[in-house]
Amino acid sequence: MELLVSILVLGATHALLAAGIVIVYKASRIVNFAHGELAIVGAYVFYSAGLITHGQSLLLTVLATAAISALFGVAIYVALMRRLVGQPTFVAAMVTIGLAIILKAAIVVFWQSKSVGINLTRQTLYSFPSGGRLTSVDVITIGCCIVFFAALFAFFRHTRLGRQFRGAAENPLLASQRQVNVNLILALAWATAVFSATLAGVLFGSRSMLSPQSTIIGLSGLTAALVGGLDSLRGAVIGGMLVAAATYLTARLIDPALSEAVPFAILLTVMIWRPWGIYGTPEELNRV
Amino acid sequence: MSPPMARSSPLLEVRQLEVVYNHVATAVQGVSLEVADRQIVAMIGTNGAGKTTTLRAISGFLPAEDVAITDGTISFDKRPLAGRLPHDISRRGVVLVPERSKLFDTLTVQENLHFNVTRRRREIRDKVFDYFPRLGERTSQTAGLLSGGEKQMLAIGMSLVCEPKLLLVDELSLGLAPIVTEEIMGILQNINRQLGLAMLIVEQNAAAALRVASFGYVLEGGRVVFKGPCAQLMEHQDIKEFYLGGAEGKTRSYRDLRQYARKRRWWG
Repeated sequence: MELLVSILVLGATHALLAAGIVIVYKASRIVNFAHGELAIVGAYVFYSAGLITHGQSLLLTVLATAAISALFGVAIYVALMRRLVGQPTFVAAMVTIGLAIILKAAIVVFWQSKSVGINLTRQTLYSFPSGGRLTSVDVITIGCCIVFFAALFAFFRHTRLGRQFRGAAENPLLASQRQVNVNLILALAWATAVFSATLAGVLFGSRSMLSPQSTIIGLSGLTAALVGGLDSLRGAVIGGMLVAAATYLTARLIDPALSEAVPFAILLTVMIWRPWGIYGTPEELNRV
Repeated sequence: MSPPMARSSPLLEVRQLEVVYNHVATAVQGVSLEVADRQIVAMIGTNGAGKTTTLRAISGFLPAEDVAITDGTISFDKRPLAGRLPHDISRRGVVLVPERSKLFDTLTVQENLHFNVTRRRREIRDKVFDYFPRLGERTSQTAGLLSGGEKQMLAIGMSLVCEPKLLLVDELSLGLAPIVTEEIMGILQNINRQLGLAMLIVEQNAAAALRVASFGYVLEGGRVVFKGPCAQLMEHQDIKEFYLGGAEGKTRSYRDLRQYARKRRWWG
């Protein structure tokens, strides 16, 4: 039980990270290598916003961070990605690597690489007989993940904008010919992606300390997205949980030192068995 | 030859259009054409004649596409269209039914039709089901799994939901059985009569297009080589032979054909 909770919490963070990567990939075929950096910068922004509001109003902090992250997503699209139209996708991937480096530097410049922790309420809600605890942060993490994915699925399934998003992801030219401004859709994709990254970063930061090294979580997100299938949101959830379960079980049952390598072992296995991921579409793949 | 319906200024007016791919390949060189309100105009020609490129130029290119309008003007409702983005052009009422990838294959029929249905447009969607009852039976099916004819119907339906003032139809007959082509052409003619919707129909299947249109253009090598009322075009000796197939009497040899092509080039 306790094990399950731990896996779910870790998996939820991975899934949120993977979702952001998937959304951007679906909409523009760009693999975003700056996702971990975006997550951690988002978490730092949340931390600073909390300082500014003196921790008085959690709601205000959350709203401010959400707005900043979404706007930052739009800015990334407008300032960088829109200019790459017509270029090969690997060029865009390179740009995201550049963005990652800049963001990492920003953490050093603006936050002096301080190790900080985000202090959401951390009450113990339940103590497991075996010694573990279920904290409110765990519940918030899992809750946020469920709400985020439910909202996303509902958006894609039942709203006009969601349909247009799916259509534009499949065939941007046709979407444009059907009166949809593809630029807006892509800006929305980036806004959602950076928002979800920030959410993941904040949840991560409320359980462990933030530092420039924390940006490594982007790698877990990318692994989860690749395992699940780069173009599948369902895959992001499954991939996230799978990677989390493997990491956690290895750390608990075999050797904690080995747990870092396990996600990549899974990644390799999946890549050999189904290169397009568990739920991905085979046609999506640009052949090597 | 007089321009079609010279009494009022045309709905769509293309003047000396020139379109170049990859900065080097000229696909359309100096095409001029007009479509009047409520009129069906046909544009016929063989592969590579520049038909699709002309339509694509009218409906707009995405910045990612390596193609550009290098000369000429396109005006719709007396406003210039050239250089605008496809979604903008489509919002102004010029809606294209493309030749290939005309549907969102992973979306259902319903989702395709509802792609940009607003409350106001629900009526039009219902009308689409009236015109194409077969779509009504397939609403929850994935669009990619429809038959060729149904795909074409859905594509036309989707375009109608965009509230077009001018419908551009690219190669409707492609991959369809002649009887299906005829059925859909008939429905288009119906729509034209009932809604007064102007259409520019591009076809390799000249007979099918000339039958429903009132005015026609023949494109070869990126140029207009003939134009005229369809009845007149259908009687033209060369068009009969090379586009409608089987002129009376002898069939000409390959040498004649080559000579014909050379003659065309001079005329163009």
